[in-house]
Amino acid sequence: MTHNSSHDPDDVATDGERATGDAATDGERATGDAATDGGVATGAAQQHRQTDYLDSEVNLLNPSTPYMREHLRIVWTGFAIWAVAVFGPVTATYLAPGAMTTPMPIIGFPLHYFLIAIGAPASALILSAWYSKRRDELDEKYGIEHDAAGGDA
Amino acid sequence: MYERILIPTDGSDVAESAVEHALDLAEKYDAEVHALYVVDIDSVHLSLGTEQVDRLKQGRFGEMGELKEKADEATGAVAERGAERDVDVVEHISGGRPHKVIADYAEDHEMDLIVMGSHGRAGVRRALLGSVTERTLRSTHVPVLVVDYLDED
Amino acid sequence: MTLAATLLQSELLPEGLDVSFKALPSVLVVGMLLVFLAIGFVFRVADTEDMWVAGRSIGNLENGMAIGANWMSAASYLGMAALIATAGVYGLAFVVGWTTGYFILLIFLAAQLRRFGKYTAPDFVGDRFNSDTARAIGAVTTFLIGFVYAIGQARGMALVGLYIFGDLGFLGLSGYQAMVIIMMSITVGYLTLSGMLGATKNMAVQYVILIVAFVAGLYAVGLANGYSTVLPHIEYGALIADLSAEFSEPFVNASFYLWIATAFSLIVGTCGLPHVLVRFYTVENERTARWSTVWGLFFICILYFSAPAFAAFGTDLYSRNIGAVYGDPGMTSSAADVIVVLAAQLSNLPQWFVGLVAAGGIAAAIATTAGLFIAGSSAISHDIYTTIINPDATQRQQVLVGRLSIVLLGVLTTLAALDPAAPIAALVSYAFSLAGAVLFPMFFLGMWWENTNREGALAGMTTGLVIWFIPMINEVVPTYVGGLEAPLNAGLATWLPAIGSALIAVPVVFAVTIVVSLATDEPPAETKRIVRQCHSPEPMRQQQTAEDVVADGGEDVATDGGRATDDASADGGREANDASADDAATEE
Repeated sequence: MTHNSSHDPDDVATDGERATGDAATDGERATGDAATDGGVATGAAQQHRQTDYLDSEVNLLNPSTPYMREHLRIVWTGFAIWAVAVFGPVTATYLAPGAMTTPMPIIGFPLHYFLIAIGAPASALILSAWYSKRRDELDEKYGIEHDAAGGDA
Repeated sequence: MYERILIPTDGSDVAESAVEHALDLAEKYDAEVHALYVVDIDSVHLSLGTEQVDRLKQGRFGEMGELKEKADEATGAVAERGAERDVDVVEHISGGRPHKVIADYAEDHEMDLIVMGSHGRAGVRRALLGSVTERTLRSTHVPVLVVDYLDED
Repeated sequence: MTLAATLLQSELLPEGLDVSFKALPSVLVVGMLLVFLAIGFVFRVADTEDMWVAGRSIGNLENGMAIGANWMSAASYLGMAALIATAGVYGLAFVVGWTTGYFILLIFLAAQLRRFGKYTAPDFVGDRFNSDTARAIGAVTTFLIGFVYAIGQARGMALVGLYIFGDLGFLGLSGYQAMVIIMMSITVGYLTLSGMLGATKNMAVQYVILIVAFVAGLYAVGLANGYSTVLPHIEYGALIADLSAEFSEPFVNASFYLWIATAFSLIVGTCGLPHVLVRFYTVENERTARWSTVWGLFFICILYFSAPAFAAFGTDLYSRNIGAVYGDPGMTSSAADVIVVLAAQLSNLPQWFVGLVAAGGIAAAIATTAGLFIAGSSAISHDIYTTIINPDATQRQQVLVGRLSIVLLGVLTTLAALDPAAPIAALVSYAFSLAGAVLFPMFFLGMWWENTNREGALAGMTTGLVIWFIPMINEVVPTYVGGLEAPLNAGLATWLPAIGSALIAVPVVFAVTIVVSLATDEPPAETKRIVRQCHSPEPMRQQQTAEDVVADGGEDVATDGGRATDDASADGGREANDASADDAATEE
């Protein structure tokens, strides 16, 4: 299976045997992983190797794998902050126009104008960079590498 | 006289009609046959979008399932018929503007004969749809055998 | 109602704009288009000898610029400043809606789309929900989106074209209308020439040229009038106090509800636009998908921080030189739509420079329209013609259908733009509302809930289309039909505005899709596994899509026992092909 198996290049027609071997001897498999992975045999990475993602249900509100749970935690956190940054200022302006339209010192913007015109897009940009960084960290924790040259791990 | 014969094919019935002629000649002259499928970039551009052209540029044709299947089928059909007659068929897939690619291929690989099918269209239909065969004819010095496709109607 | 009567109605001539033929700016416009063509030609797809040889990959920065270039349309370049100037704080809904949507796209769709790896948006809908009907609806929606979006571009092109080419009214058409026809002809011509040359879109170059024109214009206007020096994007804040209250006072021109509805629609629309989404199919891997989006948003923000500044300067200059901006009569919508050029002109900048800014606007509109027409043509040619009507279509036939679709789109857009119903930004927002109402829910639910099934999707898409059509008929159609006053129903226009209809549509469509999906059979296991593969963190090799991996039997796991043996035998034939393909690509 030249496409899928990052773990063992010999994995071709003999998938059947090897897999049963796996089920019985997970310990060895993990060490095997450590060898080919360059030593990333952490708990998360092991869990990742043992998870059959094609068998785990995908449901936004009900994550079924540890990876997805952690990922969604990042997603919902980011989403919450985003919602506040995007809709917060304008709602605040609706509720308290007097306070929100006061001019800012130095730059002279009315507060609401600044928060909406500059604050919201800037927050989205910063959040995007933050999210991507966190995803990279998550991938590292689970021992996942995106190799641009076409192989994995 | 004919050591290498090129059969450009797009998998259509029109192309198929030429295959018999080509294989017959190949058998008699003990020639090597090349089956060439050209992915028409214009077609990809207009029917799939420019981003897909980008994908081809990056060499990621392998992941474009349906395109690849069509190409493999077309050249595969020639290979199959060739095998029945004990003729060697080299399958190849290229991308670009069909008539140019065919002409270039014929030159680069020292083809002695090109065998192509033609709709034999006339009038408006020809003006609109054009003829790759005709353009190829004019783009190359290699002898071209044109086999008209005789349709039911 | 006669066509002639409709045609003669429109008198869009921006007051204060110097409408006359200008030689140098004309050359600049043509020059810009030629540069796009030339670069596209130079970087065209050279005839590929071996289809599996990895070509040059496209990095995060370049992808980001391509994403940015997608947004460099007449709407961002011209239309946004227009609304910020005339509609005050409501105009900022567009700034917010057109930027912050990318974060939602990033966290929910970008990486997953890469893994799904299809060709077009209707492809996704058709394959994910195993339905040709869904595909057809998706294709029609894509076509409609392209059409409506393009009307906005046509308006922008024509208005700025007046500045550069003058009032060339012929055959009883007004100057504006004549310009629409001329500019649209140039667009179709550009597209045809581009096709003939085999030139590819080089988005990065387009982005750079257009952003330079825009930002240079901003700095020049700021400096010439003493508004700003180093950072006009912040310095315009101080100017706001000097402008009429309507510029910044909240909810003067539009209600809070409309602000939210508009911003929401633009955000979900961003996540549903076909030409935005397909870009993610073509990036190298998910990590690239993510970081490209970040860069893309950065490049977009450069423009989006500049536009309000431009609007502020323009408003001030207009009120000093031409008349009051607000009130009756105030600035007309056509003058507002060209406020970027107007500002440069009123700052007494050299004509060639104003021409540069104007040329940027036209080039942006033409490039965007060209892209939209391709997206629309692919919907007709690939998704409706080839996949549904004539699966054995030859490549030549596909090309022909594609070209005819482009001509059709061109004609329809030109006709509709002769008397446009609304300012540029509004017209474009109608397209976003459509994308948000019909396509976004399908992508979101399709990716994040594996039990979304065909019946649910069909019900949802139909609902979305209907909800979108209602305000369009209510507000837009009457402007084209003589004798009717828009809106037909004021109450409806307030709570389901055409410009922000996705606010209502999205929750309804979600509800319908979910309920119907729950009430009917679950999708086939194969489909569910494809969805799971889109979320699997297991990195995919370059030459793979989710479908490929699922067909291969998935990743190597502890309990593969029986399944793997099946795969080994079933994949026999496939292995052979792959082996030969992989050899060429020299993997492992």
